[in-house]
Amino acid sequence: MSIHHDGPCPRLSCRTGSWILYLERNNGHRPSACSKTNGVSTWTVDQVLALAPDDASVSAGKELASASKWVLVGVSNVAVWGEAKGSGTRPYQTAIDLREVAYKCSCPSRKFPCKHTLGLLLRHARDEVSQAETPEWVSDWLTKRAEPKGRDKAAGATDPKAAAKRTEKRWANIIAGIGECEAFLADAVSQGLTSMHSARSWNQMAARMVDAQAPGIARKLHKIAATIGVGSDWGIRAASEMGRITLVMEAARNIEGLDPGLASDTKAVLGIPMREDDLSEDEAVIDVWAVLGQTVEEEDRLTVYRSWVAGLGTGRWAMHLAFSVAGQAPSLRLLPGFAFAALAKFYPSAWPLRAAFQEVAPCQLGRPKGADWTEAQERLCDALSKNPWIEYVPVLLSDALLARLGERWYALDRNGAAFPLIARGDGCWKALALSGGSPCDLFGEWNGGELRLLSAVGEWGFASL
Amino acid sequence: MNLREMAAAIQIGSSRAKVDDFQNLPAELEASVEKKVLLEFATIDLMLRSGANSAQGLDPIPDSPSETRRVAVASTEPLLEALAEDSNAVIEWAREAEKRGLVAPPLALPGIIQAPKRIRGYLLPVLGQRGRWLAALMAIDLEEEETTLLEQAQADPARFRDFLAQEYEGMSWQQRADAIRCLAISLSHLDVPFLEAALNDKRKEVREAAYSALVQVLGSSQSQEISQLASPLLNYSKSMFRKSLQVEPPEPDSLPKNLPRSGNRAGFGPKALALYDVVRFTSPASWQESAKVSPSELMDMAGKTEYTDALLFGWMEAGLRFGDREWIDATFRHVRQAGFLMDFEHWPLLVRRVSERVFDEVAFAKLDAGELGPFLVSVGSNRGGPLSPQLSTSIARALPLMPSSHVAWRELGYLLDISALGSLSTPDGADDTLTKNLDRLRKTVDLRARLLRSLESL
Repeated sequence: MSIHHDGPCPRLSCRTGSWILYLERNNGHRPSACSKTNGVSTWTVDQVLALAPDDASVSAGKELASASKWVLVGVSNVAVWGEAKGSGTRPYQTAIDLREVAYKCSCPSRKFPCKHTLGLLLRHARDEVSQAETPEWVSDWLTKRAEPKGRDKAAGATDPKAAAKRTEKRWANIIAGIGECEAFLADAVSQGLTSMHSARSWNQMAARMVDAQAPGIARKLHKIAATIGVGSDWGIRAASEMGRITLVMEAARNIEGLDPGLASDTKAVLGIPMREDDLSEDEAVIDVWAVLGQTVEEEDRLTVYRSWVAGLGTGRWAMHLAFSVAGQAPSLRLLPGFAFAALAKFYPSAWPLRAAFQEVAPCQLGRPKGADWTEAQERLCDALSKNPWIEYVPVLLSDALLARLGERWYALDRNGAAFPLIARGDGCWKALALSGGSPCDLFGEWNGGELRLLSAVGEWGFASL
Repeated sequence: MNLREMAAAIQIGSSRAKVDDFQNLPAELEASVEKKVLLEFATIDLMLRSGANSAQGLDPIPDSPSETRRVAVASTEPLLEALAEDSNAVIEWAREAEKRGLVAPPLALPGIIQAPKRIRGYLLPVLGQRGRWLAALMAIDLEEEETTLLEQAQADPARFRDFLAQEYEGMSWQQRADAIRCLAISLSHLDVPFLEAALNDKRKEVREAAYSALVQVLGSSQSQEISQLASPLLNYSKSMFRKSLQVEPPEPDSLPKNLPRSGNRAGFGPKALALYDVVRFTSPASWQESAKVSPSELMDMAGKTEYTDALLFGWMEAGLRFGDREWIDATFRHVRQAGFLMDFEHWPLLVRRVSERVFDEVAFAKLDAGELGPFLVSVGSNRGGPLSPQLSTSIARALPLMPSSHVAWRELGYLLDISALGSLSTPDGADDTLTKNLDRLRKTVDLRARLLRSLESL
């Protein structure tokens, strides 16, 4: 299955028009029509800068995007390379594989991508790098990259018995951890949550669940630790979360008896990872996808980007997760307010939502179809009836109005039904400023109690909130 | 037992709560009471979420009035970035946007309305209709009184006078003093009776503002009185080789009743203080006319008398009061050459008003002498706008050679002209401190550049 992109590849740098969209990176599946045409880069400066692991790298990269900093540069259909002047006698050799967006640099920096890579890509984005013959050190690297990786070789030779044994061992670990966690929660109920006010015991139990290879449960325990004693209804929120954990653990114990979809969902909630390579073609959808919202959460040294995308042709919703570890840019990060054509492969689920994208090409598109209260609530009920672990569903409210009652914000759908709103910082005020009180499109995560506002589209275009 | 009662029970602990509280838990589950409670919570949570009802009958927030000016929509992203950092870069942007008749983009309005007061005052002119509508909904007082007074006085002096006639009596003393300062922008003989009445105000600040305005009205009795008092104070003698100045300070008791007195001032005796009070309210041009020498020559001569400080500070203040550019430039050049410490009261205003030519002349001299860092520290944010492109570029190139601790890095980010951005490079082998400082500096200048560029596309 592939997507064909006819004509010149769009290069859109304006983010303010309604639903004029662009993909930040394409995860190593850059369509051939877009890869490189007559020495003209399809990268934009914004795309390059979004790869930077931190602000200092942005500044340093910009500084290195000057011709005087490079001894030589060149580009081919598959790579761009250069030799940067450094403090040593030999220049640093930098190369970027444009097909799979991989980098190589001989500098000692631990940042990834380093400032030389960013500087070179910036020059490439500005079309300052001319076609040249590929040097040997670049072609050697590209050849090595094309060879099967050690892990892949090993994967091909995986012993099914050994794999089954590993799975069995993991489940034994999880079940043992579940037993301890259940006892811990029962103790908390028996002794009273007020006597377990300290976050320490919850965090210790969370650490135990990480050891038990159930990091999903650990995340929920951390969430409870942060809930206790905070806000007037913390007891209900903490107890509900504890209830959800109990229910998930009960399901994990009986996983063999669950439907395959729900079993996958249960594994996902436990935090058992699934490789993108293992996704089935059965749940694959080709569409043009609009990125409507994104949340960014920090977990220790891990940054999680959760992006919501709407299929404009099929009306299908998808959630994309990207991870960045210790300052390194994620393998694929979508930018809210942009769109792309792609093949979405959905992770197995009773209510498939999480997807991986392949065969990506940028697009310029129209307005996604919105919903009202009834449709949003029906979507949530449908999701919960199939996957009770689901926390929220994506909802785009069309022609919504904003209302306030005291300090509380509401979004009114076209029939006047009110969604209680929450937003980060002054997000609700921003939405109001954008709409000027006129109908606008509001996008957020609906959990049945509150709509967490993530973006708005008013007369002045798209805005992440 | 409802959800709230059950939550309260488990906050206390099932071991302490009454057993009756848990009697309604599902009997079909073979589990402990604690587990049944948690499963009940999970079930109720699912039921509540899937059975949620919407509130009805809420009134939407009414529409904002239409915007009459163009919206600087291309500025949205850099403006949000600058507002998030409380950066002074937004002030420069707002001045430029106002000049072009633009208003702030909608997404930036909440940030502008909630900006720190030191920034917000500059942003009010670019709020536009939607911004004012939003501020009213946010119940934020924009504190526009002073701006409004100044705007009124500049836009329509006659109408401003009518406004003062009606409102002056009800104003606080700060407002009265501000109103008189605003009136001084376009003084006429018609204002003399009002200002003379203000000389009897119970607050010193109001009296001083009124006197300061009156001495600026040619032909007013205060202007004539101070000129007569000043003329015999300085005597010049000129020979082939030497010019000199004799100073005859006034007797403190002989000063007019309404002349504002400065009270104690360190290093000033009673006569020096009296001299200073006369000089600061006397038009500096009058000294020049009678001596037929330039302000610089007068200052050089004053440096050889025992009343150097009284004369220099008096001239400086008078130059600023009467808006005399030649005297402002001369005093700026003189205090820098004479190595005055920059902690005196009028230094910030002097820095703001000095001409670019003289400022650059002094700054380049400091650069050559290796004293630029401390000089720029003393300038701080007082210049009110970027330095000239030539000076900015020279500073940018010199920065890596200056000790980091001698540079006011934060202020410099707003002092440099954006054309210097290309000259701000980190040299090979720079230490961590210099690298970080240069990174931050580049970031600030780059943000300003992006903000200003965003206006060019409109």
